[in-house]
Formats: sequence, C-alpha cells, structure tokens
Amino acid sequence: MIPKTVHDFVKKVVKGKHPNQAKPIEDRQANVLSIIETLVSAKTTIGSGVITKREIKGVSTKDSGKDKTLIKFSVSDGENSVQCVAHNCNEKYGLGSGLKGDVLTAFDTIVRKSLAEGKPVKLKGCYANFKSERVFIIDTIDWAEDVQKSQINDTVIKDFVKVCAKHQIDDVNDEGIAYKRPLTPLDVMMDDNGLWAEIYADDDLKQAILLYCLSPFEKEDMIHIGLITNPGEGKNHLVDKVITPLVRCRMAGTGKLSTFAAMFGAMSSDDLNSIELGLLPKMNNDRIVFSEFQTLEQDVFGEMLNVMSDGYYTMQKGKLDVTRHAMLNMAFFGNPPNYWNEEDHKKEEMLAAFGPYTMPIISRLTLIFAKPTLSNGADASTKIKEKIMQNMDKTVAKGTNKEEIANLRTFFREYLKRVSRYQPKLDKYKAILGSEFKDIEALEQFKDAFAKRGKTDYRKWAELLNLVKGFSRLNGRKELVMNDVNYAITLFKDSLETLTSAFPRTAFRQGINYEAIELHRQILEKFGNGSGQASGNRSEIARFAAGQKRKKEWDLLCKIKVSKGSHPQLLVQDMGKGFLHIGAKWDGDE
Amino acid sequence: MNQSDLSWSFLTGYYYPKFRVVIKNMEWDERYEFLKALYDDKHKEALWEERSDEPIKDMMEYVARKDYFHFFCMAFTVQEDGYYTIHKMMREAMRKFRTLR
Repeated sequence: MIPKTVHDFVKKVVKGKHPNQAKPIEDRQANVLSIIETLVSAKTTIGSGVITKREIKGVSTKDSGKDKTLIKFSVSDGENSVQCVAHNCNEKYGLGSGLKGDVLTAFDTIVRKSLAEGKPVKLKGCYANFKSERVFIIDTIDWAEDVQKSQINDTVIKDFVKVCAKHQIDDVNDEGIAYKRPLTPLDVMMDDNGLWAEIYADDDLKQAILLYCLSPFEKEDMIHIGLITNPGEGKNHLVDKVITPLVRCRMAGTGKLSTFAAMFGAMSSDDLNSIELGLLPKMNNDRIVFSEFQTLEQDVFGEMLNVMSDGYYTMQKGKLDVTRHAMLNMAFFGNPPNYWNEEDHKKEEMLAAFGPYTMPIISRLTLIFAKPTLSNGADASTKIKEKIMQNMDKTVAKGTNKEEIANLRTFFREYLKRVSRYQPKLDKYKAILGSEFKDIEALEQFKDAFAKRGKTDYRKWAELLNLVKGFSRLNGRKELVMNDVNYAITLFKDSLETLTSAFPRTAFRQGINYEAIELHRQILEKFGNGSGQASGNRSEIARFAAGQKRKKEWDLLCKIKVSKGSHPQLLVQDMGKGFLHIGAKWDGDE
Repeated sequence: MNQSDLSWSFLTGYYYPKFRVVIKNMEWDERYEFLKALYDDKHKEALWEERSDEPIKDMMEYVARKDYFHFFCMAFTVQEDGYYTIHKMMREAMRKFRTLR
C-alpha cells in the first residue's frame, strides 16, 4: 500500500503546488490535430510533431519569381500527418507571402534535423491550395518543448526519495525472516495499487518493465527485453495498462504490417531527396514493443541488429547515405514457434522465432523471460483472475483511487525522464561485478545460451552493468548502493534461468504442458519425502490433484516415462499396496 | 571500507541467507557431504577427519558450535583487491535456491 504522504507529495508536484515545483506537469504530446481541424477554414493555427518526409522543389515561374525554393515536408504526431510547404516565392504565386531566403534556410535546417533525429517541431501557418493539393503553408517553425526533457528537477527527486524513506515497510529476506526497511521509489512504482493496479505480475517482471520504461539517451543505456510465453498471458495487456499510460511507447504491427519502410523509413526511387521517417527513429529516446514478433519478416530482424546495439542505422540509395538516430528500448513479446514442442528441441528454441538472427538478437536482449506463464508467484492465478474481473468492472478506471493512479502515472513519467539521465559510476563495485560476471560465465546455462562462439559475451557484461545503473536510476540515486548490485544480479540470473531451465525437455517430448509440470511441482512440495522426491498413497495424491483442478494432468503424469540410465521407467511408480513413488526430475538424471 | 571488506559485505548480504535456505533444505547425510566438501577444498593440507562412528552427528555438533557461517566463508576466496572466486558447490547451491523459493 502506498502511504498517504507519498500520494500527497505526488499530487502536489503534479498540480504544481510543491515548493520545488512551480508549474503543474503538462501533457506535452506532439499533436497535429489542431492543424487538421483548420483544413477547411484555413485559419492560422499551431501544432507540433516530427518531420517524417522532406522534398525540395525548384520553382522559376513568372509569378513565383526566378530561382525560388519550395520545401515540402510531412509532420506527424504518430497518429496523423500534415503536408506542409515552406517557400520563398513571391505572393503572386498564390501561397501567401514567401519567407526570406535566410529564414527559409534556417527552417530547412530544423526540418532536416527533425527528420534525422526524430525531434519534434512546433509549426504555425494556415492551409492553402497548391496545385491540386491542400497544404499547410508555414509561417514559422521552431523546436517544440523537448518532450524528453523532464518537467521535474533534481530537488523534487531528492525530496521524493526522502518522503519515501520516512516510511518503514515490512519485507522478508531470502530465509523468509521478516524485517523492516525504508520505502524506496522502486517500491512505490511496483505497488499493486499504483502503476500495477490493472494487472498482476511477479516482481521480476515488474522490475524488467520499469527498467524498460527508462529513456535511453546514450547507446549504452538501451535496455531491450524479450517476453516469450504461452498465448493469452496478457503481454499486450501489460502494454495497454502499464507501459503506455506511463511512458511514450508505440507498438509495432505484426508481420506484413511492420514493413521495412514502416520501421526504418524509405527513399523514393523517383526522388531520392524524398526521405520518409520510420517508426524506429520517430521513437528515438523512447520505446517500441514488437508484439507477436514471431510473425515479423526475418529481414526486419537483420536490420534491427544495428539499431539494437548502436542506436542508429544508415540507409543507402543511389548516392545518398543517410544516418537516422533510433536510440530506444525495444521489447519483443511473442510466442514460441509452432514446432517448438517437437522432438529434440532445446529450451532456448523458444526464441527461434528470430530465425537465423536468434543468436545475435538474444545477445542484444538485456533480459529475456522465456517461460510458459508470466507470473508464478504464490496465488498468481487467483490474483490474475481477480485483476481481470476488476478490469471488467472498471474498478480502476472509475474507482475512488483513479485520481491517485493518474497522478502517479503523470509523476513517474517525468520522474523516469529525469532519472534516466543520471550516470551513476560503477567503479566502486567493479570487483564484485567482475567476480559475479565471471561466476555467471561459468554457469552451464550461460554457456548454453550466449557463449557459443567464444568464452564469453561482452554484450552481456555491458548489459549487466546497465541493469545495475538502471536500479540506481529507478531509485532516484546518482550513486550506486549495494542493493542495486543485488537486484541487478538477481534479475539477470533469473532471466538466464528462465531461458534455459523453464521447460524440461523430456517432459515436453512427451506432450506435457505447463499445468502438468506445475502439478508435479506441487506434489513434490506436498508429498516430498525429504530426498527431493515424493511418495504417498495413490488415492490421497489423486484427491490432491483433483483438489488442484488438475485431474487430467495427474493422469498424464502417471503415463510419463523418464530414463534412468538406459532404462526408461515411469515417473510415478506403484510400489505395491497403492503406495506411489514420484520421481523428482524429468531429464532422466535422477 | 576497503575493496575486500566491501566484497565480503556483499557476499554475506547476498549469498548467506540463500545459502542457509539451501543447506537447511538438505537432509543431514547430503548436508554432511556438502559441508565436508567445502571444508576439504579449503583445507587441503588438513582434510575433515571422521573421528567417530557417527560422523554426521559430529558434524551437527561442529555446526552448532561454529555456525554455518564458518562453512559459508570457506566457499569464497576473496583477494585484497576485492575480486573473488566462488566455490562450484556454492554456485550449484544458488541454482537450487532459485528452484526452492
């Protein structure tokens, strides 16, 4: 539960009533709708967006005057776009009084920079007819308020950390021993009644998503995540209910809808000067989710490699060689390939949807959660169902705490932008980090997943360091503390574990599903005999399975054979007189 | 705090509670082998001696006297510059912890 004083602090900042926050936090979304609304009336108006296309026309007519320039460009806010014209033609040409030559040159510089870097611009002008087109004639063009610039300052962040720390919260350590510790901003961001009010998720997933919500301003800061789970696990719900209400994020379309040109931009063969901006550069310093990524064309992944590691890409056509900035966090949400549970698949083959680029892509993914179900915590299933029902009843959307949640989203949007620029130094913990990474490299799972071609994967090292910095940022600190290292190492190892261990190979060869694996785990827990195996009365175990609503899965488990040495034997063995022995492992190495 | 102290501070904070969970989940015969292996690898010149017919009971008494922390420390070799190596059994124990929790 988020303390009232924290809610009060957040509200004051959002409304601009905090001593260190003079102005209310505004919604600074790019918007060209105000321009489109004057399409018919042709009233002078203003709007903002990113330049997505630029063409140059030379004009030399009696009306325009000799040797005049006309720049046609498109401005988009992500949803709508407007065709604009800036020119220095004479008034007789019919497009209003033209701009002065040096003004047009200055405007063109802004247009080119916006196109290259995805920076938003602010426009003023009015509609007019140009040949058979209706275009927006530019009076002025300037840089819009930087949407990446946070509206709160460092003092507010420090104050917030202090307000949080005044509260002691109950926690349990790894041994299950309860203790009290100060509340942190990360605790507030992970609270189930705040940003996560509309969806249930385990802590590791929450942490991964919040790290993803940081804005990358340096290429080393990019955090890419992969979520590969069974269908219906609520991956898109996660985007709709947590990510999009919090930070700027666009979802790329599936398969054929996410074409090369749509993602990266395109040059027209007829006019090489006409360059369009794709979704990636439009989301520079923000984030993109690739939902159902397994439907994407493999070529798209190929190009994505540069962007994922360098934060920019280049396009060549004819004599043009253009660089586009696309420093953004990417999330890949999808399902394992259809063939996945066939004979001899490997666990990491859940990611085979990346095609021939699987290895380079997973090398670039900071965190990968390849597990059948996103949430495995205690009572996860009940909690998920409860959240779904609350969504149906619009409990959050219309509930009494909807204002508190809206304030939290507004506050943390600006908080995340501010802390994303923090650059905590890693040097103090270099020995710990170096030793831990060396130990991670020694893990079989690491060798299986990443270090196939060499002793190590240096990207993974950089990604681990980035996670450590990420946790420090999320907690509003410019200096690392030991806990940042703890959190990062735990999350990194958990992610590695899901990639290589979530799916027992033997089990899947025999058509076992997640429910059966879960029942097996529950039986070992309930009827464990201390040796990691379980034993008990057949009718008692069957009753337990029925109580878990997993009767079918119990029947399935009874048919499973595991190999012991070269001799396959049943996982569930009848020892006589209805007494059963249940093996611990799937892969025949018990 | 010097680098090796900093590393020990991390190791005890991060690993020790997990180590206790794993070790307490082991049956005593398995626990005995585990602790003995840690001891032997750390004291190659003076290996663990079985001094009675009930070595497990002896181990229990030794643990009661010395605490698990005594064995925990044997699983790490921390250098002056703070860099450390982790015993492979501790690495394996951490993996077990992930499935236990």
